Amino acid sequence: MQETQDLSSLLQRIAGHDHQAFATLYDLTSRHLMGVAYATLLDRTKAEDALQEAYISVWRFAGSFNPHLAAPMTWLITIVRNKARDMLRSARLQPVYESSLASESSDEVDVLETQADPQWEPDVLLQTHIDELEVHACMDRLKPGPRQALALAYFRSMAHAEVAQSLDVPLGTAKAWIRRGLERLKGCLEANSLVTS
Amino acid sequence: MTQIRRMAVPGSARDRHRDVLAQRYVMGLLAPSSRRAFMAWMSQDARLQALVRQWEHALAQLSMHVPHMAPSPALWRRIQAQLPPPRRPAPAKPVHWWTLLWRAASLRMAGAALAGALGAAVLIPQWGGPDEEGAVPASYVGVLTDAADQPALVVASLRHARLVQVKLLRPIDHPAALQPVLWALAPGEAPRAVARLPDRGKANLSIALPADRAFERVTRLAVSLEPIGSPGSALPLRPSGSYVVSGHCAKVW
Repeated sequence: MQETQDLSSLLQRIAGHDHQAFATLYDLTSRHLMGVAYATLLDRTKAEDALQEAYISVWRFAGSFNPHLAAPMTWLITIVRNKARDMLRSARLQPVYESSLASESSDEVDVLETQADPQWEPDVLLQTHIDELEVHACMDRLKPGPRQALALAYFRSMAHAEVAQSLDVPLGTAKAWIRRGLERLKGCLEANSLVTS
Repeated sequence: MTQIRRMAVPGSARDRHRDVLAQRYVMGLLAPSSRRAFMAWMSQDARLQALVRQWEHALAQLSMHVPHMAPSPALWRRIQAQLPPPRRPAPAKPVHWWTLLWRAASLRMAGAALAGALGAAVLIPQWGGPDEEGAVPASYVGVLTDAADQPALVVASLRHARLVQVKLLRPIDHPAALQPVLWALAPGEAPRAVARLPDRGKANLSIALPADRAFERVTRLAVSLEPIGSPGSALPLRPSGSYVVSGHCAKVW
């Protein structure tokens, strides 16, 4: 709670173009947000590019942050995830899941990096959060299909068709799985008072 | 633009439809055209905005415990290089009409933007000197605010002028392929594009009709982001996405 208040207060000062507050916010959040960007892009350089754009947006739009409507980390994570996702799609980057399927990969290093470090695998990331958020009992009732679909759509920013291809299921099934996974997650978080409906 | 059907589905089915769309919007699972349509809908629907916030908050929980990773020291230097230099005390400058208007709007932040605009009208006799608009004050005034209700843009025009004066109080952030476009909104009428806006600063922009015709029934002004056009190119026929800033438009005299 204290951290939330600190971040909110920093954002208010940044809205007044306070450089010192911006530097403090960067110190407090950049390691976490770098992880958020990297989880989607799986490439340090691209993740830093996304982070750069995100922090510039924070500088410009800190005045639009409303602490009554969103927690500061939610706001920051949303900005970073959107930048990473836009970068992934607009630059027509080949995400790792596609590269690893291709016979020739221009992102071979990234693929190797990911394969060597299982902590960035979508299902591992999802399980980490289930553990940390203490929603195992609730989330464990989710079948493997929707669980995998949720992990790929969220952590890899895959579109419906990409999830369908990756899991080798019809498009309609992929859509239903993602929806079911998200609804289960939200229900579990609400049941544990981690979010409000 | 893809139309998102929202009228044909009744009751709880409609609520579920909205929830699924909000969920897909936050996940980035809507096609670009649907995303734009959804954003336009959301800009006018407070319940939909609340649903989106709920999903953003829920999904952000999935990023709360990602492994941390230190960015390179060079990243901070790159970010710093993009920031404006820290402010220094500015020498005294002549006060322009937009400064007075901005101050007036700021004083009235707790109230509606219209109150700001009308309040600014009180200051009209002090606005410009002969270097601005002669002794004639503006007839139509708009103070546009962003999502956080912060003043973002001031628009003013003389009654018979084919010109609007704009002053951006803060830059409007947008992708390189888009630029801000000002729209006039009149009750019961389709939005009408007024002019393409600069990214920052102030400008005098030509408009197709004299102000008293262009703004006759206009009660609100808004800005959307549209594909970039060359100077003089045709204005878009309808906004392709949601409005990034908006506010009331008042006729002062």
